[in-house]
Amino acid sequence: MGKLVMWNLMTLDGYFEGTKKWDLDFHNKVWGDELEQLSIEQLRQCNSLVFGRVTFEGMAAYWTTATGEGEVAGFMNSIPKIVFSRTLTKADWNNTRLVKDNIAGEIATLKQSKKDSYIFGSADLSATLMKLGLIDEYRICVVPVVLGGGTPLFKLNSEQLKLQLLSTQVLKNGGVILRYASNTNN
Amino acid sequence: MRKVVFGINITLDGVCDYTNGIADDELHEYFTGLLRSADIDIFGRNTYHLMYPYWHDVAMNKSESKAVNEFASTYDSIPKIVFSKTLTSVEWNNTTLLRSNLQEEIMKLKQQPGKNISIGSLSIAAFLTQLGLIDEYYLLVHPIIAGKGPRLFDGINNKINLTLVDTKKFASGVVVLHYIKNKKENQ
Repeated sequence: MGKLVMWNLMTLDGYFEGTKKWDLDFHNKVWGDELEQLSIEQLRQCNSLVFGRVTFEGMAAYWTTATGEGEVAGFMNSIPKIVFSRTLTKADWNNTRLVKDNIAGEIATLKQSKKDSYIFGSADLSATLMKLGLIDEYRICVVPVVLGGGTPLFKLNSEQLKLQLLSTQVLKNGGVILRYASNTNN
Repeated sequence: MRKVVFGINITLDGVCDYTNGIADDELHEYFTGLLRSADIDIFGRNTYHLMYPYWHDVAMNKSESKAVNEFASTYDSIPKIVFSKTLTSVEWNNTTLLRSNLQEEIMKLKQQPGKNISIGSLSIAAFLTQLGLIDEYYLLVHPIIAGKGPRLFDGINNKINLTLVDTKKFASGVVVLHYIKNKKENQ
């Protein structure tokens, strides 16, 4: 059964973007060969990408016109994608399905695949999926910077979740990838 | 020059709240080591009330496991400064009350010979972080998403680049992330 994996880069103060939407300058501190390889590896084995509206719109705008991103761009544009939104009326990005409700059912269908699916960014949708207990693995690259402001990856309005550490990976540039499984006892 | 070091338990979502977390022997041994690398520990009123008389009693009665007792006796015996504008006296042994000029005190201590200066509470760490006065951070990331509580670095509104020194994994799934201040970029 495929897992739903959260994959994000996060600052030491817990932000996944700066104070402005799509301010991702801090990614440059850790982006490099190692993360590119890891991204490609993840995308190669990916069933679908799952997005909330805001992240979807930004990603679609970026990747459909991306230059110099090589293999990653190819994957991003070709992989099946689902965007959960009640307000979008269409989703033009290649191989995207717009879903308006029944989040749990859609995710259950995804998990019938042998391959894992991934959710990037999408903090609101992530919070919903966490509440529903649908995220199986958290894969967070901790970036060695305190940003001083931004959008928190994890919202502080939820129940405590106990996790199980799977592995740590230290990147040459100081990023640390922490992998956790959801604890089924939660 | 002496270094100012801050070791703190946090969750994956950055919450620092002593009610979260896995306080096993390995964790206590780690904090004992951090305290032993210092010869003074500085914290505020809330932490004082949280820690005293609890740790003093454990140190006296040796009522816990060996590792926890050792932490207690190390903590009990290290010289401590409580920074508070409202406390009028402190009872814990080896403890001094400081009522103003924390920054000056830290600067003065840094000039004196000695081991590390340990910071033992979140509010003081935030104040000193903002001033760029913390040289090393030991973030003990617990395998928990807390969902609520005070966050480390709440109240920090400037950008601070840190350099990863090393990491360590505990059997409990706690991961220690050890960073030093990035001197070049932050000066």
